[in-house]
Amino acid sequence: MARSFGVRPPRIAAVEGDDIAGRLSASDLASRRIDGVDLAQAREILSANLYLGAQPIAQALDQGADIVVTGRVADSALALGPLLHAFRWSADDWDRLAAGTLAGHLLECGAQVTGGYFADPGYKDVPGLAEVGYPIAEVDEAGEMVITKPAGTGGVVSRLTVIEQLLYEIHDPSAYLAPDVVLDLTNVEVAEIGKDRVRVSGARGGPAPETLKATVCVDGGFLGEAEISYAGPNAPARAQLAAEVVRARVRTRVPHLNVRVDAIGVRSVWGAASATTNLRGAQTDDVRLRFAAESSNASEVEILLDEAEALYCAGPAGGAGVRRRITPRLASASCLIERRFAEPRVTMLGAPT
Amino acid sequence: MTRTVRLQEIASARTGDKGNRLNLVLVCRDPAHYPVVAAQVTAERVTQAFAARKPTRVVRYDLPKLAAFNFVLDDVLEGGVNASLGLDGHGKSLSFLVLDIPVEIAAETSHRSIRGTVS
Repeated sequence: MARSFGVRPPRIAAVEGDDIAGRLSASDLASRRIDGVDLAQAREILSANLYLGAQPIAQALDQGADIVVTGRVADSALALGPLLHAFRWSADDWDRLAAGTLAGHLLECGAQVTGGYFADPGYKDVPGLAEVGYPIAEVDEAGEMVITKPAGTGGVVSRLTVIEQLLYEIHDPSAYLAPDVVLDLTNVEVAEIGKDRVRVSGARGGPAPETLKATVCVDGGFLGEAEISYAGPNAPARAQLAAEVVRARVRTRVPHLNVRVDAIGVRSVWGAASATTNLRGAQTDDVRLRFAAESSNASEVEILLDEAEALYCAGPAGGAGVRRRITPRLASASCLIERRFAEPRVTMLGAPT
Repeated sequence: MTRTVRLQEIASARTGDKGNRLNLVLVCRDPAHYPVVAAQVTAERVTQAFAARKPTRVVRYDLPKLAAFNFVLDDVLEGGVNASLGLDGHGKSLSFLVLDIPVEIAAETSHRSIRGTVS
């Protein structure tokens, strides 16, 4: 690609060492689990990856890399790495590491800080969302930063967009654990200083945690989903009958299978239509039923999907638009791993120039 | 004199997930509303809004310098994105459960102060 643009081939570095699946056994991992699926019951560990920090990324850039490809790293390390490279912040300059981590946290979901995942017409209007601009963090040597976006793009950078993202996926704001630093957000201040320019200051840092987080994946079985629509007069009553038919059929064929039924347009996202829900009185002429079940045995969820599809010929009148799919799933757990198991390696690839 | 508005009128919210745990960011559009929201949108009130999801623990962290709050709700995501049978295993829609909470504000609050300016 570089050649086609007439520029020199980039120097590419690879950061590895996040994969610990071969180095810790299932029981080693189970004893370090803090959240998620029970690893002691797992037949096989499919993956186990540490979240590495920013140091190996900075090291790769120091060695002249133009592009750094990593295994699993903390999202925020993608910004902190280049900042360590540019400013030579020391590994225990906690407040600056905290600022760089905050910059990375604000950037890590792209448009979520520039007006994406934000607009609520009439309450929070966002201009030009279809051409939303991706964010830029201008960070100085002291760790002060301005969040902005390219000129001529849609979206908005405001106090609200920045604060919503500042706390996104954070638990305790005084102790956000990252591989390189513990970030304290409680003194952060946010100020609009110009159009689509927001200054963020006051990040404080504490010593890096003694352990690193790892995500461990095991087989999660199969998710089966099937949908069918009922429209027009008496649609809710026909949907109700369809749900009753499928529940009865599956109860006979796979008695232990837990079937979830959603009545999209009546009751779905915030709760399912339980076996006792009666859709008949719903004030709508457009109901999409969704059936879902999971099993370690794909043929069991196939039975549910077959029964949903059979509604075409053997269910209530006017059943339309069946869609069905089976998705293999991973189940995951979080573990805390001692740092000695992290051995980040930087490899320069390609011809130097 | 006070009047009742939905929280959506005076605050902004966003949810994020980690496993079966949800975080919910609540930001006052006008920082002047921070004390009102702090007094009324308590962890107990948010627990009630999420009653159907049966949270096992709800913690509110206060960020007065941002006129914002971070709620952390345990076990409300039907197992989380890798385990839920539902349509929203991430809980991305759940901010609107909280934005529907009614709050009492001073009756004379101007429309501009309520909505604030976004851009």
